[in-house]
Amino acid sequence: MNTLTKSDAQTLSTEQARPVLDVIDVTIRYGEKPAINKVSLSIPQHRITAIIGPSGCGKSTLLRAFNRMNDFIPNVGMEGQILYMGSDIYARQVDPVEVRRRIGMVFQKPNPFPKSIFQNVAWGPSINGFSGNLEARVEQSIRRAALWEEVSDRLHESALALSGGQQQRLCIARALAMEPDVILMDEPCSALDPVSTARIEDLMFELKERYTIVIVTHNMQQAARVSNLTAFLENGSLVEFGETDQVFTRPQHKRTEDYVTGRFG
Amino acid sequence: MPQVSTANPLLAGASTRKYRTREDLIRFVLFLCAFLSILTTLSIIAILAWEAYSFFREVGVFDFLSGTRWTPLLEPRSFGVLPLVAGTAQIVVGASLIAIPVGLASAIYLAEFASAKVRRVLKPVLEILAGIPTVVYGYFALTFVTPLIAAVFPSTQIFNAASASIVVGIMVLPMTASLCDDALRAVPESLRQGAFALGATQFEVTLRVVLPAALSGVMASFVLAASRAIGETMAVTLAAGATPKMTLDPLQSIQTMTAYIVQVSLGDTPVGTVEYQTIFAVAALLFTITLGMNVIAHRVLARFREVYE
Repeated sequence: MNTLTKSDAQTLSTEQARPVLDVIDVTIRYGEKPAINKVSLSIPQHRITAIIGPSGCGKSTLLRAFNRMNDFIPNVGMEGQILYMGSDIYARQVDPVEVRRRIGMVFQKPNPFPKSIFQNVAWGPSINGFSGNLEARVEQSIRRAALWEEVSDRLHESALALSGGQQQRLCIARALAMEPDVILMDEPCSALDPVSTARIEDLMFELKERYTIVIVTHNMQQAARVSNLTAFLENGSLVEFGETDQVFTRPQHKRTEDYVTGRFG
Repeated sequence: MPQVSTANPLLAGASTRKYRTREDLIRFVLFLCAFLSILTTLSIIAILAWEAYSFFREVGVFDFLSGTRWTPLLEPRSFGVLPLVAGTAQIVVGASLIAIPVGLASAIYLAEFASAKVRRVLKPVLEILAGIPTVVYGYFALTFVTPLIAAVFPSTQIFNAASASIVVGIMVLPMTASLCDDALRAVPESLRQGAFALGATQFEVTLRVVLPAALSGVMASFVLAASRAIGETMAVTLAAGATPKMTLDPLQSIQTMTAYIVQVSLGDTPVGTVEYQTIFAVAALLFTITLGMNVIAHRVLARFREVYE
């Protein structure tokens, strides 16, 4: 056992990690036009999985399918299955509200509510009938989002007064307060400066101890830096999915290689 | 140093100057049109102020504002405007009791729950409703609403505040709904998405995120609706009566400020007398109240815009 090399151990642990989300033959259409075409992949627990690809390849659509946010877009049709811990999240008797409580989301642009910092974080637990110590939950969530030092003395001031990077970490704290299993991040740093981006990336490393993270990004360096696994999408099809190291250094497909080396995209 | 060319090609051609003259002329004509409406408003204010000033040389401002008897056309004459203010207030409160809850509920339905298809039909219908002549509402009050109220409360007078309040409420309802709908829809979609992503239901998103975020816009629309109800004339003239009276009983006949102005304008009160000038004093008060409310509404709205833009 102790003769395993480091990279063997990594591969093994990835393979053994339980899949939290199983995407099986998923096709998503806007009207007639397929945005996602027969995609299958498994997202392992406590790992960061990056979805990369050129603009319009469907990466956000796929991500939003994981917590049924596509339900709000009219004329979206989906075929195939998405399993969360083995259960179909699109099954008829499943309430999408329940799905979203377990699978949180952070959006491209920070979207704090026009309420106080405290209320932003407390909002999720309070609407979901949380009966424990709300203040402790809020503090813990803000600490985990690496924001506590900056806001602990002004929890009751408006969240809109925070900087963009702080707002985005507040949105992460808001998602964490629901104690989800999975956190979906849709280009969470695209509206942020490099310093704020670095802070969020550091935060993701800490968060993967407890949470499974799926991040959509158009920034390949970011995917290479933060993720354990990378899925490369093009025109709605999954071209390649594997260990991030391998996808970036020894891609199996020519298209992946062209994309990660910056030949298009 | 760059040399300035003596033959500047940019200044060549008389056609340029002719073109400029025409542009200036068009701009001047457009300015005149815009100025005309301001001028009209200013002249109205000037006439109001002048006639009201003449009135207040005869009757003290304090007596006018605090007096509780309004009998300018009867002996002994008394110029206390409060009964008219009370009549207007009664109509406004009654109308708001209908227009605010129903208008807000319709707006919430339209903005948050209705499908795009339903919305495409309902929103224009609301706007058409707002275009019905108000005299029609007045007859509706007299011939339909009053008999209905009288059937329930036999003590109801033929002219009564309740009936007028109800139709004025219905009348300002489309405007309230439409303005509230605008306020709710101005809340960025990203806030709704953020709330949904936290496992909120549609109802929770509406009540606990969208409505608080739109609150100042919603409040402003309430103020504008009330201001519109204050200025409403035809329906209250027809349905509420011509009895200046301080009463809380909505089944009795009352008189509003606007209805009083109509009564005197149509009557044979000689121009230039104090009785005649009363309508300018009442109009000046009416103008001040509605102007104040519109200013408040715009202030509130301006604060609302700051948050999101």
